[in-house]
Amino acid sequence: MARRGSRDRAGERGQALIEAMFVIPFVLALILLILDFGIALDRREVMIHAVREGARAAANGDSVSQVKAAAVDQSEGNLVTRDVSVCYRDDNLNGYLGDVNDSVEVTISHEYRMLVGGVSWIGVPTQLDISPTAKAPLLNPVTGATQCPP
Amino acid sequence: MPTLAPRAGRIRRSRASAHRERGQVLILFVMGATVIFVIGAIVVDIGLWVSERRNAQAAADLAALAAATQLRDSRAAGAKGLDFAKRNGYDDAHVRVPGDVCNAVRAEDCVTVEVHEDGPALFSGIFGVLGPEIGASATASYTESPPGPGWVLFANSSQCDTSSPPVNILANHLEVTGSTHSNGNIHIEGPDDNFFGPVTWVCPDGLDQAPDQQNTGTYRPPPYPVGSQPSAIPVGSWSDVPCTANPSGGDINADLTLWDVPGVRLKSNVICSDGDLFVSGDGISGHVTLAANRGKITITSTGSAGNRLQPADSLSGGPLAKLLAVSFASSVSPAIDITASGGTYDGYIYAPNSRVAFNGSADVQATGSIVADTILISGNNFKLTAMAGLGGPPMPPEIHLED
Repeated sequence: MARRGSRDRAGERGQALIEAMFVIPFVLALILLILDFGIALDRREVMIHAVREGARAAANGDSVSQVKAAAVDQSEGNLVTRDVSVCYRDDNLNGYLGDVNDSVEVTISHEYRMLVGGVSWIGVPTQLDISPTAKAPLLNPVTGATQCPP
Repeated sequence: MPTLAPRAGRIRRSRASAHRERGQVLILFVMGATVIFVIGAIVVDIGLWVSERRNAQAAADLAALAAATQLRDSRAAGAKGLDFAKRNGYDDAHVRVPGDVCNAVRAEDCVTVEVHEDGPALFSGIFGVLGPEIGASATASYTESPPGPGWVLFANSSQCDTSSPPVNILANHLEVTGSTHSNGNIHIEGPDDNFFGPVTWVCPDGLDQAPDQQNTGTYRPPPYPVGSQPSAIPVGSWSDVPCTANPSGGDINADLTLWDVPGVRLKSNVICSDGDLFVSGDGISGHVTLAANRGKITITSTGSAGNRLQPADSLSGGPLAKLLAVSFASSVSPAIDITASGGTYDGYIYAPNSRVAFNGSADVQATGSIVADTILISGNNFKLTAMAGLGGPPMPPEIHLED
């Protein structure tokens, strides 16, 4: 009987391991999800900073290519120039686009692909759209200004 | 049997204790997951608050810059600050433009915009923790800029008709160093006309560039519209001109009293005529001012050496001292017609009531200003450069964020 008892205890050995095998993936997934949202938040911060720097360059009257370069430069390698768009509004209604007292809009189009993407059945999107816009007054004139869509 | 009883009891206890231990990992998991979730929630919420704080700062910065552009009108400054805060996501209820915050020497030179809102409580709200109030403020200052560089071309006509622009530049490979202005509109045809100084106009949509020709030209700074500018040369009338010579017939070549060396060097004079005045040749030099009351002034290069003309020595005081040619004619157009091939032309060329036509080629250099009712520039490969003395257009104010 003593042999059977110890065999029973021996039969329960590894039970925690098996339970852990079920539990640990969920714990890891939870950690990964939190980490993923953390990275997404950080990416959002970087994009807001980049669009803001682009808007400040645009406000100073920098050319469109310089504005895009300023935003890309501040994006920590997450943007290329085609992700940045720059357009102007004839705010002072003088018929000329791109003079002082008009305004400029800088928009970044970026999508963050979630690390735990593909599990949309639990409500986790595969990618997050991060597209901030900054609108600035034009402090110096520019050439070749493109009208913003209405 | 007695020996078996304790054993059976031990086995029952062992089984019971094994039963009691079942679900331990689950409990540990639930506790651990809760801790992780709470920590994650705190991190996410604090992250959101930091993010919102930076958003608010960005909006405050841009709103302050916008408000500073209108600092000459305090109500307009406030309204513009609110407008740009709104465009960047913060409505009037979350924005304040206090009038008494700036520490500048003059309050009208700077403006502060404050943005505030309640931080989002995504997870902390579950535990009854409300988001903190998030605020940011920015101060921008305004400094008036000095006028731009002196005028090179200044047309006083307020004509907005694109078929007859007050400044009509048809020249190729023209280099203008100084300010170009029309109180009406401007046509620039090029190709390759380069402007190193402001190009300004008044009419709505008043800059007309030939799209195929002028696309290689450069503008530093970029052109911009301004309000109407006062005449660049305040010379009132014909009676202000201190004439020293009055040739009969207007043909300067034919009047040998005007020459040190006929056809080569003119005596220093203010040569006046009630009617037309004209001189032509190649390699003519001299300090001479040509003035016509009701007639046309014509200066023509006939060769490639070019003429070298400067204002008369006898002129002194104010803009008069730098006049090279002046015509008050209003019924002839152009009132001053210069065809220059090579050489140099220094001084102001002034036709307040009519047109100046300047046709340059072969690297001719004109240093001074052409001020007229309307201006026509034609030819190729030449330079027009401002001479110190005539103020330029208003420049955009310097606006920057204070630290």
